[in-house]
Amino acid sequence: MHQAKRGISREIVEEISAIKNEPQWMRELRLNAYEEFMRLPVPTWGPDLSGLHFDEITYYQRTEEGRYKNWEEVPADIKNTFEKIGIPQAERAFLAGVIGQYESEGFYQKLRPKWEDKGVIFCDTDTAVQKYPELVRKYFMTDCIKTKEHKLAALHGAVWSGGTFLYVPKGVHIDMPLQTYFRMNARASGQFEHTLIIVDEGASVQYIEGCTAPIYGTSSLHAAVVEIFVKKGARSRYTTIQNWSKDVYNLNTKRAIVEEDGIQEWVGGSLGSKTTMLYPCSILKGRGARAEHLNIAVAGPGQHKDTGAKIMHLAPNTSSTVISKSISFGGGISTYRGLLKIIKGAKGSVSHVQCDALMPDNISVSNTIPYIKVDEEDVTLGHEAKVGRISESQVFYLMSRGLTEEEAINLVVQGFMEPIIKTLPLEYAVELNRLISMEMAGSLG
Amino acid sequence: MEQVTVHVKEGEMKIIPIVWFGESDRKLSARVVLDKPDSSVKVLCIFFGKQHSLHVETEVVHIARNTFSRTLVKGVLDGTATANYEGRVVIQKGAKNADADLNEHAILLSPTARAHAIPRLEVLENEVKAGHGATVGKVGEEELFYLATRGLPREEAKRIIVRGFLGSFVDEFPPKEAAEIRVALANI
Amino acid sequence: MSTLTIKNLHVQLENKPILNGIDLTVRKGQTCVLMGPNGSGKSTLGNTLLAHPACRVERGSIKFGKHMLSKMKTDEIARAGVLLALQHPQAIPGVSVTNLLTIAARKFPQPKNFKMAHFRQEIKDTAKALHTPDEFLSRSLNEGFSGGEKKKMEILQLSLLPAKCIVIDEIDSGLDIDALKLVAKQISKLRKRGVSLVIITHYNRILRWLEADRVHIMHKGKIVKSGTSALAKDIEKNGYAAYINE
Repeated sequence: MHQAKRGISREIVEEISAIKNEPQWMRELRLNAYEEFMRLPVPTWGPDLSGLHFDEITYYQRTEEGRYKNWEEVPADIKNTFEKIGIPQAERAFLAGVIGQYESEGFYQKLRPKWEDKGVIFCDTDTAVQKYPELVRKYFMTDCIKTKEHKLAALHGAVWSGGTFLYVPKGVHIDMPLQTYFRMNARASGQFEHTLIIVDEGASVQYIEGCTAPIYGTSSLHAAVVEIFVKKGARSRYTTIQNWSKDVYNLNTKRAIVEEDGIQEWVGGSLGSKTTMLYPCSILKGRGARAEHLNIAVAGPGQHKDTGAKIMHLAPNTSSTVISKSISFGGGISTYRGLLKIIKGAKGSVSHVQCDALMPDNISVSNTIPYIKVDEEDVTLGHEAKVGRISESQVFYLMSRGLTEEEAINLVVQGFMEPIIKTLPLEYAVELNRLISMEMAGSLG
Repeated sequence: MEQVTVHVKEGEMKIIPIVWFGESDRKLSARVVLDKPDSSVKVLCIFFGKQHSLHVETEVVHIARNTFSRTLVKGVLDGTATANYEGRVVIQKGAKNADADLNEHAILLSPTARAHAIPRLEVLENEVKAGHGATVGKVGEEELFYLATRGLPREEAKRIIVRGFLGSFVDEFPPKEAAEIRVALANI
Repeated sequence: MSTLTIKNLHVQLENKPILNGIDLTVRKGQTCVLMGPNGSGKSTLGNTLLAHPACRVERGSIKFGKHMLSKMKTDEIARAGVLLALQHPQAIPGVSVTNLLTIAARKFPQPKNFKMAHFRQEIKDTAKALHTPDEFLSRSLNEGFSGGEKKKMEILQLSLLPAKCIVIDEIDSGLDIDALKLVAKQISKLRKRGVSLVIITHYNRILRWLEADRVHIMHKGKIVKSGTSALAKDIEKNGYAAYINE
């Protein structure tokens, strides 16, 4: 049994590459990224990251050990959560990190023909490096996210492991949403997963990552990267719901490059983790490119969510919409941090940003910090934000229809998030609503 | 950088006017503290210019109960003018019943005009009403079309729309500044 | 059994005494009208019946059948069959009236043959009777609705939940003649079902289409005169002056 050491060093990075038996170009990418990591400083413009100790983290584990040795060891409140949101037994074990790998063989084999027949490649990224090196080499941390951009991207480049690789050929439309646990080798705790999605011209796909059930990873740091390439006339929707345990720093980097007439949709729900910094970025590179960002952030006691959207309009007639809904309660801090940039020449660009925040109590914090940079006059841009609480009048009104106070509050919260939840597949929507009511129960006086 | 800090008295409504006609580069910051109950402020910034750059920072901090603030920034940029606006509204814990709004609206008339804005809202108290908004863009095609059907050529129509956009705002300014603004507007 | 009995009710709103000793009995199936000039405390009485958190009962009691309303929470009072049509109904973004009704209906004791599919149809039928377009049923409740539409939504909801006693606060504000007629018609149906009604109103237009068993005039938090619908007609002709001893 291979026991990985704590902390990071050049030797450890080489070891990781060697264990995976990677080609030279990937090993070099990792080592260059390592050098960048050592050089770059920890970002200080957002939430406090001083509790993050890089030398105490284990960056790679060969065997997929779960966090708990068996189901009995799993704490009662975790088991209760699974019970309440109705996750089947087999998945519970996977998600609780009891078993390292989802035994999804049967399920996977049944679904595979649906996409393989069309030439779709859907596998984990490690396998893709071996089987499809030309494709991976062309796109992996080249034009989209570069390792030298910031410290966490560099760290990721050095120690990444696992993740999804999805390639959809020209003109292929996949009707059903593809989900992480459909594929083999899906791990419960993908702390440095690299997801690479390439949607070729005219194709379309929907991909769902993560799930609403609390996931107990083995590491306190998640620095995953998602790179998406949406080619001309293609359409991609990336949905992620995360509910990492509350001791985790969730610092991911997600970006899509959208070509002419392409559409990228980001749908995200962030429930768990101690600190999350997440700003899905859409680069509208081609004429007529579009991006839609829908995001829910829930910040409860002890949590700090710093999330938002970054959109760059680099071509004419591009358009973007952002709807962000956040809830802070029980002392939680939620910040919307957005960047909207329209460069000179991006004529006819249109953008609308709506961020609403709900604060049911008055010991929590809600911030909205949008950076708006417009260097082109022929554009239309609007940004609106509202911060408020659940009014006593709304609660009284609903109670006068027979709902209890807790039910009234839940209904208002659900209504608040409805524009985003209605875009999720039904099971997720139901789970998400239930989960949020559970999180808030007892925190509201 | 020109700086002004104002503490508003209890029960008082203060208006802080900021006016820029593009005559030169200017950097200014206005900070307002509402630490007495029932204090209110309106920070009104109007700007239009063909050259030079404007950098404005406004900050309104709500501390006491029942405070009210409106920060309204409206401007038109032509030629090579640029405006960089950083606005901040902070509602501290305990500032119950605060009613705060921050809005910035900019119209760009030329391909070389630039507008950057960072309207920040930081809320630590929940029994409040708080919002902010920002719009940046060019003169609407619909409005230009409508005026064209009344016989007005494009340039004339633009002028009228811009005067309307800024004119409706002028009345909120104190008389001295309002008069100055009206004179300058007439010359657009 | 379902008699509403209010005894010596004193209520404060934001530390100001608003109701100063109200005694009122509404027997099962009766329609009682509360009138009075602005500031007389009519709305406060309506809100107090449903235990609005801002209304503090200083003295007195409110009983409905065997339920001591003055000691119950708002939702408990509603489920006991006492419902309130608000004067200023709240907008609940993202929640439609159909959503709210289907959730609320499940919370009330329903007859054994209650079926959700029928209930949904009833919602549509009632909306039709009130001349409310179908699409209002799926829009965010009260968001961007006119005053009249909000009032109709209130009556719609109250007609569909198992009510024994309905309090309507300022029934006719915001309604034009046609809408008022439709609302009155709907309320008459409720009256025929045996529902008790407490109608709070400033004007008495509604009495053209609705029978009142008792009419009370409120002033400065007290009931100063009680009578029949003849009293209402008198006020229509001569105003409140005669009853207000100023």
